[in-house]
Amino acid sequence: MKHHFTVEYEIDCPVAIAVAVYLDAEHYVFLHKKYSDTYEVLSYEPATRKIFIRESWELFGLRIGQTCMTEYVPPAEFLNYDIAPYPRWLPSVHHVMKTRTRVVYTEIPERNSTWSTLEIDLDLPFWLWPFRRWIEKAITRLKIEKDEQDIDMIRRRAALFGRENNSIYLADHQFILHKDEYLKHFGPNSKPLTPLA
Amino acid sequence: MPDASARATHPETMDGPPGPPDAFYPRPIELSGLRRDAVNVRDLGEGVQVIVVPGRERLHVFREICPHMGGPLGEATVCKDATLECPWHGYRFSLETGRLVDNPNERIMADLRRRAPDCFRPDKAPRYALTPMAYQVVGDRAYVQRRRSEP
Repeated sequence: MKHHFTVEYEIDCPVAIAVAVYLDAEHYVFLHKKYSDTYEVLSYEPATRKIFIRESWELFGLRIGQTCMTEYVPPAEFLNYDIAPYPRWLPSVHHVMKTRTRVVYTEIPERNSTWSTLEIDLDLPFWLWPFRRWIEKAITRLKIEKDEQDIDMIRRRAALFGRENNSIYLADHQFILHKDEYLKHFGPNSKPLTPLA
Repeated sequence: MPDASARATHPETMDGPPGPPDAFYPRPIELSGLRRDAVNVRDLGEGVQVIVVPGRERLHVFREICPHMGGPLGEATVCKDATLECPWHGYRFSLETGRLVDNPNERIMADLRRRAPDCFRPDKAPRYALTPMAYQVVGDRAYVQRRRSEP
């Protein structure tokens, strides 16, 4: 049984910054360590911009987590799918529920800001259907909490270096995911984005 | 903590900074309130925030801003190997010298970094470092000196 929902709000920064923060993988297990403290790359396909990852954390001395396929669709779209528990024998809702997420950042030109849309598709067994709203709330809460941490970082950097300053992400030495694509769309010679309709 | 000789040079009867007031930030650091081997955030006035980590021999005083991406070093972790870990990206700086001693992402992202496009040039990385701030102790207070280039 399919359940679809959307989490939407404005992130007060240019799209170039929002995308950079998403692709700045170096902060995942430090700024967001409350949620997972280990990030491992299991496979990487540069041509399709797909990275199969494992995120894990320790619970009662046991390392648990999930594996997930992540995909970047330039300029500002991010997909997550094929989510499975780790280790595989771990009792988890992911054994019976398929989850697919899509994050899209769109420009709000009048405020030089970002509209963030998270679309979630859940494929649930009938016996989980009554709990769909509870799952929706849990996913929404997690998304908002992580975004709030990112927004704090964005705000502080804007105060220190300027709202539109993405120079650190463009710097030769700075690693971000899919940097060649980021440079094409948000580098010094990039073209303007399509604004929110 | 600051050594005894520093205290002897500036007896507790002295009031105010140990030199021209312009050479020091207006607000001194009260030594008695500092937590040992922990990050203490102090406001020196004029909008300048610093972190203070009391070591065995002396205080380690740095600006509160990570030189990598501007992270809040007030929320940094003091590690057992006398390094300071930035909460945003995990970069580790030596408390003794301020120099970057480790970027753990070089290991975490090793596979991705190795296969990154040509626009990623780790060989061009700047030598990130925290700048230690000099101070002088008067009684139970440490006065942080302005750097020469600062107003």
